[in-house]
Amino acid sequence: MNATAPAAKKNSAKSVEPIKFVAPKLRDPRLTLLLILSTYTALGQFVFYFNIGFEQLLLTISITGGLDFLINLIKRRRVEIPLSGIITGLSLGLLLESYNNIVFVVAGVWSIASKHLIKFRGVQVFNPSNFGIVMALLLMHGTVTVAPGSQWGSEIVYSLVVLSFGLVMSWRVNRLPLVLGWAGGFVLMGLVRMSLGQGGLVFVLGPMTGAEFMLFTISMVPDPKASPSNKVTQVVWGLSIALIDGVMRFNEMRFSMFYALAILCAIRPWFEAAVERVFNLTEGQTAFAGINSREPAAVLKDKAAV
Amino acid sequence: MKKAKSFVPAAAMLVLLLVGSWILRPVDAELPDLGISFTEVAQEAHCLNNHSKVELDTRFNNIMPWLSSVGAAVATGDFDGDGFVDYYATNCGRNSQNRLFRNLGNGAFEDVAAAWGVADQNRTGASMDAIFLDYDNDGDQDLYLVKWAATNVLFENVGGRFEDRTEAAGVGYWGYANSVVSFDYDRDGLPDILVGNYFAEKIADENSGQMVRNDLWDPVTSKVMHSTFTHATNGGRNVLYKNLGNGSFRDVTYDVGIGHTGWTLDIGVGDLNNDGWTDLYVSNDFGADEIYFNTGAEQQEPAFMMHIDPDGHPGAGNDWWKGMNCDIGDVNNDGRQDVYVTNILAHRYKTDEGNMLWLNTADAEMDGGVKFLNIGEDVAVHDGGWGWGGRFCDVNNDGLMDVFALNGFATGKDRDNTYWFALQEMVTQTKNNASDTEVWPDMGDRDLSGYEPSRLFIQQASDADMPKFYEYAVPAGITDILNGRGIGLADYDNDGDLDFYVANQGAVNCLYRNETGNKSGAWLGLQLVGRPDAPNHVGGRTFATTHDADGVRVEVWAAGQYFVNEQNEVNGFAGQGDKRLHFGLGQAAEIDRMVINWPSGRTTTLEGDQAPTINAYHVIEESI
Repeated sequence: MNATAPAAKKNSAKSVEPIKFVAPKLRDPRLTLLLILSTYTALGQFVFYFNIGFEQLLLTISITGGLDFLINLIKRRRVEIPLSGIITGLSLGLLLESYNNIVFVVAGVWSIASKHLIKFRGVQVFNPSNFGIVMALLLMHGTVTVAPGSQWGSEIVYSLVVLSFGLVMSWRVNRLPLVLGWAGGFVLMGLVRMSLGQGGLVFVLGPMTGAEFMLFTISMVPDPKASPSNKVTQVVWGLSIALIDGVMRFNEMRFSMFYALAILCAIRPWFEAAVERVFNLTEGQTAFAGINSREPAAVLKDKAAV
Repeated sequence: MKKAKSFVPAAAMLVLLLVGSWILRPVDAELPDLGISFTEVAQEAHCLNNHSKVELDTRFNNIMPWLSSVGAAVATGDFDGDGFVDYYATNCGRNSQNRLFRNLGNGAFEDVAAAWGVADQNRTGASMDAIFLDYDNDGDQDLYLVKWAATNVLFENVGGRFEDRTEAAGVGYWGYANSVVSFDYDRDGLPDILVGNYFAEKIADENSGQMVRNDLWDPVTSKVMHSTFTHATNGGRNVLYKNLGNGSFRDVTYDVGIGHTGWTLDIGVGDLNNDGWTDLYVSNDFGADEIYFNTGAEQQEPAFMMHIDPDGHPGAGNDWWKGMNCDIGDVNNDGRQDVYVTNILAHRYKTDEGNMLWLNTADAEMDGGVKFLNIGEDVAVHDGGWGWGGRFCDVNNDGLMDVFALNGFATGKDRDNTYWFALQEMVTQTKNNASDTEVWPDMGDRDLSGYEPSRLFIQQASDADMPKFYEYAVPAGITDILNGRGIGLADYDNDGDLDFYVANQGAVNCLYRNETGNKSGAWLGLQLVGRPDAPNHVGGRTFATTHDADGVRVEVWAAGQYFVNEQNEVNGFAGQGDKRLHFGLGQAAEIDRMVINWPSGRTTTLEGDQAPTINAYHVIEESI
């Protein structure tokens, strides 16, 4: 450690960094997700006329994209297309439903704010869209619900196309085991619920064919910033979402998968630590490695690399 | 200090959450004392009908509360010609008796259904809706009754009795009607009949694959439900009967272009583009509503053309879930007909749509004729719960149109033990999954938007561009939480204010007598009589007005205000109102001018001494 480093750092902090213009990279997986969601939206607006006003979508995207842009500019001195913000806006705009447009403004603000304000050791805790939706469901006095997703005419072919692209994207962000764990777990829990008498096969597994499930699975579950990176942990994570979701569904709680993901994200550091211990994973393979240490995760990661 | 600093972002997030939640908190509007009151008098008026629900084949037992959720209807008309409106109320249970409540004129009624031959109508199928109409233009009120899984019936009033004329008239459609209206779509002076159907009349036999009659009492398949919740087209076709004037009708549905097979719950009629021809608003369950413009202004043989809004929607605008009811009236006194459609809004379960008030914002002169804007939420008439019948009405005669809306789907034993989870799991399925009743979980005695109080949205004067409403049902004394379906909107006691007969599903009806009187304003009642025997020749075409003056448009100028009303009392789900036009006139002391636009093309202008007096009913015959 150089003794003059702190002073130099202090001086450089005072100088104003120049603003950088950053173009998105074509290999950025967020572009793929944006393409999928945009195609879905365009189909819904111009072919199937889903039940979401264009103004409502524009409003949500403007809020989330605009906030994301501003925060990037202020915090990181970067001018860039707010891909994450737009994706969050699209997810919210597609999934939330309300007769009250203020809902979309507030949920958009909450989503983007959560990305920057709720961190654990510098790591984002929640998927922004998921956080916005869950908080909207909990705190907006029943004025908002999640669109059940039959609005695209319920044609399964479109769901399958979206799912296929979603799986490719999950593979690209190294979250395929997580998505497969979630989907497999949903099937398992569905069969358990069926055996316990909650309904027939179509009733318990049919929701997998709907847009609500598809959008959740491709746009929230595989978020690399809000999910484990280790493959074993991913599978356990996916199964755990399904377990919590299944228990909630058995108790007839609507919107359960959104709650399930939010609950897991809230306990993610401890969850990953527990999985590490149970499966004897190498410390440092997870974002929250060394949860019980007082050192920042980044330092621990460096140590593990050494 | 450093530790405290690390909590700042979390605290900021918490503040944001609290502020957002506070912004969206429910705010109860401070209710002014509007001086409006109703008294429920059904029992003392001897017009109680304890509605019996339909019971289909036991194969559908798991969702029987759903399938038996409609059928309580009321038709209003003065069938005995004594100057007081009477009610015809339906029942649905096997062998149950429909009721014909004759108004004795002293505040009481007597049931004369059996004597008049219209009681025993549920031996097969189930009664679902009815209208009084004068199909033969002889000056008395006939009756048309529509049913599920049984032939619809046309009764001719022969004085002291109704006679079945269905076969001769050719209007015995077998299907699943939930709605019926009569209007004169081609202005030939003969009332036509339009039937709105729900389930498909034919369906594929699950064993043979053959298309056979879809009898829900003797089903050939369990796949009888809607294919999707938002785009279903596997319902029944609507049927338009053109009155040929010789006691018979002809099915012209496909000729005029309205053969869509949506799940129609209600049909509204009115002149939406001010071209003098009656247009249609079709309210569909499980899919978009439709507007059809009458092409009579351009074509010798009128047909209907579906209106597509600038964003590609087939109705008035973005609307995909539920159309349960339609009424047409001028809510802002601008001379253009607006539309009120009930829908479903359930906090915590379904919040994307509520009741819709489509404000007609365009001039007839503009290209395309109309543009609608849904102001339901902006003016606070959207939260109607699980909506059914809804009517425009000026209940306090202040010259401002109010809205009365019914609601409630199926009342369970415990209002917290709901069927909403199961329903939403079905909604989120892919196409055709929900069409099979066997897939649906057992509904049992679970609640689904039961226990909802009706809504009475009272309009108050506003300086803003938009009207302003207060929900005032409970303060006004409309306190029942039964599952309302049809509204009989009429001044049954002839005191100048509008009363409500409410047909409740699986429960006794209500009769809400309006006690408001003339506290808020003057009124005018008009019984208009057309001259179908005296056609009018205009530009090489011949037009006439039906005896009941269907489609007549009356404009009134009083105290510097303009009012317009059309004869479309058949509007509203499972209900029919008084054929007499009712105007609330606010503080007017007299009528300055009145113009009656008869469908024959004639106009009657009354002004000065000739203008009708206020606070009275008048009978005006079309002058030749």
